Amino acid sequence: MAIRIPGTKYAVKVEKRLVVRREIPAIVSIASAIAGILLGGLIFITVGVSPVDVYSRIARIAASPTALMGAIEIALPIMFTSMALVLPFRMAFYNIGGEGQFELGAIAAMIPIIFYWSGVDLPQFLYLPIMFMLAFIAGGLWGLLPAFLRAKWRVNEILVTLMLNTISLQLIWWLTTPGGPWNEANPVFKERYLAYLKELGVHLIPGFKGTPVVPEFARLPRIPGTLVNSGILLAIIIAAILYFVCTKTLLGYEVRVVGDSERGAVYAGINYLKLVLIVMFISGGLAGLGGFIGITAFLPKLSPEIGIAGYGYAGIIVAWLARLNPIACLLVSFFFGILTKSADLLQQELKISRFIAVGFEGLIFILLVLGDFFVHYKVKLIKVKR
Amino acid sequence: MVELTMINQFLIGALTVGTIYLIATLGEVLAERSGIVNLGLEGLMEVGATVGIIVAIFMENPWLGFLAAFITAAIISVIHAFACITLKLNQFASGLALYIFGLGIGITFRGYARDVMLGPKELMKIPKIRLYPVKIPLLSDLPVIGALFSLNVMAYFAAILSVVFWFILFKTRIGLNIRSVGENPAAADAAGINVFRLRYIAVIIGGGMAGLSGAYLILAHTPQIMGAPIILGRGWIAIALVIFSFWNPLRALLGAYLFGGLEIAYFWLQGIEVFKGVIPLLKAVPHASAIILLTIMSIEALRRRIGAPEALGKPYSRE
Repeated sequence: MAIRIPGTKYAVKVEKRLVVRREIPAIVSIASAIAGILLGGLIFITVGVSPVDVYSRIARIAASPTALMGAIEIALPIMFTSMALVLPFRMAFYNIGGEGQFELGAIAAMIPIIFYWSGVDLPQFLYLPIMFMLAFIAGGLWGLLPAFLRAKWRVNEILVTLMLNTISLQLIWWLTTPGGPWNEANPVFKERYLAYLKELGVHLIPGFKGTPVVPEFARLPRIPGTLVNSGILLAIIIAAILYFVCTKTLLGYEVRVVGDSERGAVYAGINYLKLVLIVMFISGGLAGLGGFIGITAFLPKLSPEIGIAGYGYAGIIVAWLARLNPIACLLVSFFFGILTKSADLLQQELKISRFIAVGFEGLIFILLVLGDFFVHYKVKLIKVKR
Repeated sequence: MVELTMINQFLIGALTVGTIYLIATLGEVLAERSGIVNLGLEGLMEVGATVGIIVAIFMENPWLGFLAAFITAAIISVIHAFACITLKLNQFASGLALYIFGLGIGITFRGYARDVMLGPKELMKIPKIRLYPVKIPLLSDLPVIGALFSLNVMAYFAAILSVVFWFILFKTRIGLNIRSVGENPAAADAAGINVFRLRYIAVIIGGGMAGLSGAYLILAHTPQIMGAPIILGRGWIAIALVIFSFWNPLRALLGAYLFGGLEIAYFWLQGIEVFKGVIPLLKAVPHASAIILLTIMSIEALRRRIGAPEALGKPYSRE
């Protein structure tokens, strides 16, 4: 197909790529991120701020160590919520429920801490591993329902996972709201928690939505000698395992086959129900680990804030930008961390809503989707005779 | 007598809130009938709410607000139409992108409008431009069904619109063409129907309706400007309602009012002693119901071999 550009000797020719070279998707991803940031300048112009000013501020933010640390803090949970989507998205199971699975993970990880403040002790070294496991299991279980419904009765998984997101956020509201069972002002926490706060010289603010904080011994420490939380090591290990699972195991192979054609996979003897349940348990579990990281690495408590921040939704775009490559997820998450951190600071400095980061992410996502065209097609400028 | 007024109040609330769902659902029914899923409703509704209230305040006229919201959301939907129809890309990804984009800019501009554009003088105008119920004399005094005659103008309009949509889709030539494009685009194409043009029209009008729905939400239900999300998952419920209604505008009417009722039920249930301890959980009732209903509908669809338009979600290319 060639369309002639009127008044010139040239025409635009669109050709299907017969072979997609490996670097092309990556180039399109990077190009759409850059184009998104530049086009996003229009948003700033409409709200009366000079984009040049904004970008220079972002550059300054991105270069300062404290802000970089903040960016990693935001990036950490997104690393997990994006890696969580690698397997299901590869098999065209659209798990949009990373948000809810993340929140369930955070809730479950909080359970031993709630017991601790009510006076039930465990050996201190057990807290982190137990919280880790609870988060994985709870997130995984939350992911099983949409998987089962989809495999059994073809119930649309996008809608089910989205509804579950709202339900889990309301669960957090209920637990943490003043008068709720896990609210820090609940009398069961009175003795131990008040004594702890007193030691810190902090007062309980009445009417605050949130649980008691996670005590120091149950928090993930920083890597000694750096400002970076050790959660990043966990993320790197999981990325490596996931990469291995995707490329070198039967599970990864079956996921690819289903992704190519669900019907074909059934003919090939793949048990779709079993596969989707396994994949979604892992997926929900990984998103749940994001929740574990959230409360043990930097927000040391459970409150509706953890859901409103939108780590799960950011994971969707990151996974897509990373082309469902777990290692790339880590890098793209970091980029999103910088974006979000910058938005937070812009809100303070320029009074622009921090939701502008969400707008940017959406814009990048739109361009990325449109950019997919260039992954599959070649666009050439050719000279025409006459 | 007190009981009757309560039922009346409940029905008015359910129908008023149900209209939010109805408008968005009708638009999505149209788009999906032509074969294109638009998952961006939630974002388009956020944008519609923002544009709707800002224009309504500045023009001191809610109707211009509705119009502007429709046009803006329709324009944004062109991106989706272009991606799905012309470029034949992944409809789910494109819709999700639209959702996140709409959510972000919708909220950003609403916050900006409140903090920068609008002074106290403009904010004072909100009560003047919001939609109030119009009681139809005599009829609105009837017990129970009086609720049907005590709604705002847009609610009446949306109910009529669902009949109009049903008529167009099932009783006219153009409706037949839209449906055939969604069922079997190759055959429709062979019969001389312009598949691409019809799909563009359906997606753009459908997206515009989502904008209208958002504007309705803010102008008739929660007339306030905040820099925070206000659609709160209603767009997703609207998409679920499309499945619930089996892509039929008249059944959409039923589903939308049902969910309007479920949402309104929150205000009644929270007063009941048993639910005192779990009030935040009551807000999740519509979403939990949606999962249950979706499951029932999917089982039903499998059993009766009915379901989505055959070509839904699949791009069409002449090859």
